[in-house]
Amino acid sequence: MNELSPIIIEAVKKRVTADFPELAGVEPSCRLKKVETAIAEQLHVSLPKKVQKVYVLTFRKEIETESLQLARVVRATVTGRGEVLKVTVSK
Amino acid sequence: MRNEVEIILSHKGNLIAKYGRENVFRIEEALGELKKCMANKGIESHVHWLESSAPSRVRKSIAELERRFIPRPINLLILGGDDVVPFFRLRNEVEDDDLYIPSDAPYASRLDNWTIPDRAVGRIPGVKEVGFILKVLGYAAKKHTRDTTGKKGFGYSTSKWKAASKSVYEAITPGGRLRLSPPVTKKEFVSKWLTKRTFLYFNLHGLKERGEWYGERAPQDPEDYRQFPVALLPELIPKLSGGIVFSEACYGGYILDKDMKASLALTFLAQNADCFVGSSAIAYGPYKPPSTEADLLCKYFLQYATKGASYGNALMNAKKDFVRKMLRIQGHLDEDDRKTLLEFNLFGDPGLNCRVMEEDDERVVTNHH
Repeated sequence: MNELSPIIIEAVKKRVTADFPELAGVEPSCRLKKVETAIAEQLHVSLPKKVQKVYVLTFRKEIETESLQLARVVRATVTGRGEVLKVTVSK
Repeated sequence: MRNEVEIILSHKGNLIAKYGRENVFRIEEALGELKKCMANKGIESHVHWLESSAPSRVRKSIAELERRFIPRPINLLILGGDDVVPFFRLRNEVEDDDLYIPSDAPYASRLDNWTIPDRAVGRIPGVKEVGFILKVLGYAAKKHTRDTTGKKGFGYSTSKWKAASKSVYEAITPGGRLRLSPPVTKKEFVSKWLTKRTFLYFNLHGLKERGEWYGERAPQDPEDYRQFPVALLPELIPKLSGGIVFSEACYGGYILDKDMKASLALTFLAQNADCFVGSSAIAYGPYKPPSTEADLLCKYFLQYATKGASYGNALMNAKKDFVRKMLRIQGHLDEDDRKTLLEFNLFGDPGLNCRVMEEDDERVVTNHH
């Protein structure tokens, strides 16, 4: 499966807009992530036995308020099964 | 005698072009004083003038210099701003507005995977006037000759990121009071809050072209609070007597073509902070625990630095721990993890450290691992 199901995308949108209502109506971009292992070997870290396929949904919006214009970027990392691993926001 | 050797690296031709020959003599005198103070503390140091300031050539010179001191680790102090020894311009993989990431990370890394540092690297940047660089060098020299006491920290966060910031701040100062913006704005901010602190932690918003940092209203805050109030301005930074500063703000460490009025990072250095760690680009973090990205890096850095690791080693070890943790959790580093590792640079002497004296302090810190 190389594409994230639209049902999962809708669920993530709902979750993100609950915490960031200003992102309501923003269509996120969706990217499948590549897993790199070389870096783990360099630091002698054993990777989890089963690494799941993960996707990153990126929400982006310019927020204009008072005298300030701020780009809000929210990134949600999601497994193919719809588990949200993390949500991060630009500072 | 410390095991590591400090290499002070700069480009004399570029310094002369910027400040004039006369002022470069003054810089050399200040370097002599810094070397003397380091020697008194048992740190061997060498000044190396680069023949070329092209970043790839600088990196090659560092590798050659390092070979001379094997097996001793080196601390690398880059002297001068982007116009003297340029930052690398690294590709930004995250879908945001940054065209590139100004970074010293490649100078810290032996391999071409620049996300993992192998060396302790810091930079004393410059502004238009030579006084700034002389002042910061003079302060570093003085700081090598005296220990810091005290254990208090200061934390300042947007109201919206209160829970995430608390998780970072309380890992260093259990039960410590975190200031929030709003309600605090530039009007209520008391400069004295920043004095006599071991470390200063900021989790606020920043903009590339502006010098100030901003708070953000949380959903539960009163609606008459401004959504993004100005939380801190360069003119609010008082004279300090040291202090480790870490800012998670976007562009908190972006200093290209900036002077002190337009940069809190430069202002903190000019006002005698020991060091400043900040991001040269858009930074990321969670809005609630657990700590990831900038929050996690900050937590690790402050844990090392407040336990006495040299600031360069604290950042190097924090980045390695960050990679280990994210690999164990996720099995990989994603784009914002990699961006975090590349965009946070250390300003100040990487060989300086802060020994926090406590009665029952039996913590041992290894500077390299």
